[in-house]
Amino acid sequence: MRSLLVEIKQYLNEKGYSCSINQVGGCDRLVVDTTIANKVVQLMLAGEQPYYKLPEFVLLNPARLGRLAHVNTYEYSGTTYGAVCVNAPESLSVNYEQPLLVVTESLRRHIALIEKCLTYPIWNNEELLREFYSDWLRNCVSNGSKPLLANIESPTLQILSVYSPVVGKNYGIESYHMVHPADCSFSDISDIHLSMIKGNRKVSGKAIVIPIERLTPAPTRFESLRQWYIETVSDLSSDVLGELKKKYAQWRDSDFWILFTAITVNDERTWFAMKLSCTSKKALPLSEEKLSTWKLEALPVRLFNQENTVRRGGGSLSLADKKVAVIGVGSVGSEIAHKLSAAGIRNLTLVDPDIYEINNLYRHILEQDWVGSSKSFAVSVALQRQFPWSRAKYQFKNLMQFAKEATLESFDLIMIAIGNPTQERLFKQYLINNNIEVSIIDSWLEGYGVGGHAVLDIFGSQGCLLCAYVCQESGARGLVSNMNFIEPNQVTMKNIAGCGEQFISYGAASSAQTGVMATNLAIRYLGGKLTESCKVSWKGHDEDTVTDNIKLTHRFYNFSHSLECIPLCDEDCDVCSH
Amino acid sequence: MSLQNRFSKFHDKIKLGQEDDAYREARSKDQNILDELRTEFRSAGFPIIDTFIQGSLSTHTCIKHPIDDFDIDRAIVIDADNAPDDPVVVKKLVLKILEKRGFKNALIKKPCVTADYMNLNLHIDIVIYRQRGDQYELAVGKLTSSSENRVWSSAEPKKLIEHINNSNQYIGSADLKIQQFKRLVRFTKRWRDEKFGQYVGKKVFSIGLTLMLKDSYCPSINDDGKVNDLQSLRDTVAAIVNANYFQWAGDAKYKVSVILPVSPYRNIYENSSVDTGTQLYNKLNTLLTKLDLAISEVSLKKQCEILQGLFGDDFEVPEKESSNSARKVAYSSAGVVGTSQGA
Repeated sequence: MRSLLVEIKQYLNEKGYSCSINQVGGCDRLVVDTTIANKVVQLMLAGEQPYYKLPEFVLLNPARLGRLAHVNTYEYSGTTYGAVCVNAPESLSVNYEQPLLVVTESLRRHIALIEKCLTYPIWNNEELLREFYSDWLRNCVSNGSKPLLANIESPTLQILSVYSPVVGKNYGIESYHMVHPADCSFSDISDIHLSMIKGNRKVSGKAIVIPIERLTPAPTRFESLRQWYIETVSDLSSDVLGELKKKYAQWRDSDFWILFTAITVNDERTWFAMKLSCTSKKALPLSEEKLSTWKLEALPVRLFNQENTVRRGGGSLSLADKKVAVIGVGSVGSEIAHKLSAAGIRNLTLVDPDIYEINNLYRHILEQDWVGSSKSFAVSVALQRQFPWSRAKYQFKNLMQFAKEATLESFDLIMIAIGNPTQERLFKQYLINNNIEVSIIDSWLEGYGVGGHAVLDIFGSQGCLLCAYVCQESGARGLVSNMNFIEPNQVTMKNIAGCGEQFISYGAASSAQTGVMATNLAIRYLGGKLTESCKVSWKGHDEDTVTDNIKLTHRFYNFSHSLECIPLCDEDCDVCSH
Repeated sequence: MSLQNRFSKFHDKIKLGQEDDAYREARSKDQNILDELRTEFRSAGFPIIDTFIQGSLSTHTCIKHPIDDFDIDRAIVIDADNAPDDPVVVKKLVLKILEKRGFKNALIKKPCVTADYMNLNLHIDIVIYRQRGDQYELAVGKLTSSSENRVWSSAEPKKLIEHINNSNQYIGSADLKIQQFKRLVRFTKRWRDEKFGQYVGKKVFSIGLTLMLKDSYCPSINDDGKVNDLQSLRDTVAAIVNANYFQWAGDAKYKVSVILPVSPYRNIYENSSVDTGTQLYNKLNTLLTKLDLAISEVSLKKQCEILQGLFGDDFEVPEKESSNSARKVAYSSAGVVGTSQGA
């Protein structure tokens, strides 16, 4: 160990650093003395060998440098150190076979960061604000415990109820304290909504949301929390402070939950909380004198509103109010419905007349509890249970029943995943005959894992579903899609239990891949990124078709555009050719 | 409407199949004759053990001829153990039936017995094989042939049909490709009927053209599965012209030879004249030039005009370059097709 330290010391000295090995806390430690921005800086190598991550250097006597961003002070055996956060460790690939290089690079990064903090005070202050929430967490007594969930849409002065966790719940949303308005937009059957309806959550107090106009860095020590609170309240804008006094000064309580919110940098908003407790009911303390009888506690907050949660999951709020019908919620359709919901689409209408059966278990998203239930109902419930803002509805109908009874034009998109070319063509003809202006996506897969397909038929754009059915030989309307990879008129169904028990051989990976591909098409269309009708396929492998002597199409062997959008229009399509 | 669609319509106009209405009467006559032959052969001690259609009807490459009769190429098979040593004996039985039924021009030719139906545009060729195991031998000889020219000659008629119908060598959409090849055969036969005088045209045997096309066939299907008969025909004709079918005979003349791919592996054009070979070679080159011209032409109307010049009036030329009127919907000719689609 010491021999490596000596080696590092020699190496760094050769590189021009001034290094020594000192006894610190009974251990040999490498200390680097340097001067940054005319200030003496001592960095001690704290990282231990082997170096599978960037080895940390800590600042000795950090207080003399003032408050630096990305430096957290802590005490150890009576000595104060400054932990420097130079990088997110997972973003680096470390050359652990060359420890000298690793240490040198780490030291260089530490010095560069400290130099930037000392040289550019504006940047240093911005960074302190950017990391406000992580600094705030250090002040939380219950750091590491569950944060207060806050379902708050607007950062305005307001008062909301705080609901306690459901008794006995150790995990799940019900196990958190929750702040949200009574008129919340959660699904009627989300855990949160249900637990409130059932009265399982008690109101444990009121929370006041206070918007801060000028945020100052978070207090570095718990002891300075009071001072930070008083300074922050004093510095509130006159409007906010006036309204706070006017509306809430008369309200007395022994507990106040305060949710602060402020812009940090680059319009990024942070939320953090504090709980004020007193032995008797009093008005919210707004002065140092009145605060003296209150106990303060910093609390972690997790913003749990639609905007934040959907965005954090990669979804888009702009899709929230799109209306999409998914016809067929089998293995492909349920995947589509799931991924559309995950993209943030709330208003799904799920249409399927089938019952969920044991045979479906291994290629469907639903749990086994749903066996015997209507697929459309079950999926709508499952979606609302997973996605709190989902408003998925269900209809126990087939495609043409739905077509004749629904107002199709009210949908932004109709997605069909029934794997029935006859019904799909019939539906398209129904739209044509009745001049119904709606865009559709048809998606299907083929057995044996050879691939799957989706067609985006945008109303008013050249190219329609029937283009994907033009016979490539005669130009007439065909009965099978010209996108298919398996030649028609072959026995592709498997049968293990007689009539009515036939099925196409494909796995959940194929149906999921097809569903995801179709959903991507839908999201791009609904987001305005696709404006022309198009088709897309994914191509799998032919091993299983070879085994079963299944013949494949020329398109399969020559297809090299998996997941690419290809123009749909066929010049021989009688619908699109005039 | 695409050019391929025009080719498809042209093909629909010229194709002739055994089940077509136009063939109904011929089919009926063929069946009646066959019934009488069965009786006659059984009585004579040579019971017919098998019978099949050969020629273009069996390979689905038959076309309507603007002038000529419908052809029936009927093969009958007798057991080799029962067959007479002199093949002309059984050919006489066929001649007897045909004459009895009032056929005109009934005649025993070297490989077959041939006749024309009196009141129908129907020409019939009947060939006789004797079979031992999976070996076939053709009854060869005329009434006037000497005994050494009356022989049972090795033949593989079913293997020839299989060879032409075989799509195993095509990878991907094999059915689509064999169908394209067969359309090319029909197009080429119609081109022959249009471009050769009746005398030479009869010498450019259909089986010879079919085998050249089969061996040289270049599929043209784009990566999306869209077929292109014009490109395929062009590429296939180019391959034929560049293959070894034509031998230089001096003075810009050629001899054509196409070897039968099954027993007896003879040259189909063995007895053809240099004039036939030369005309075929030159006309194939002209065909290639015109097809290239059609490919380079951007106007659909002009493309169709060039192709009409090659294939005759059955290849329609649109009146206008493009029509704004709604296209007539063309539906699939299949009632039901099995698909692999699921979800």
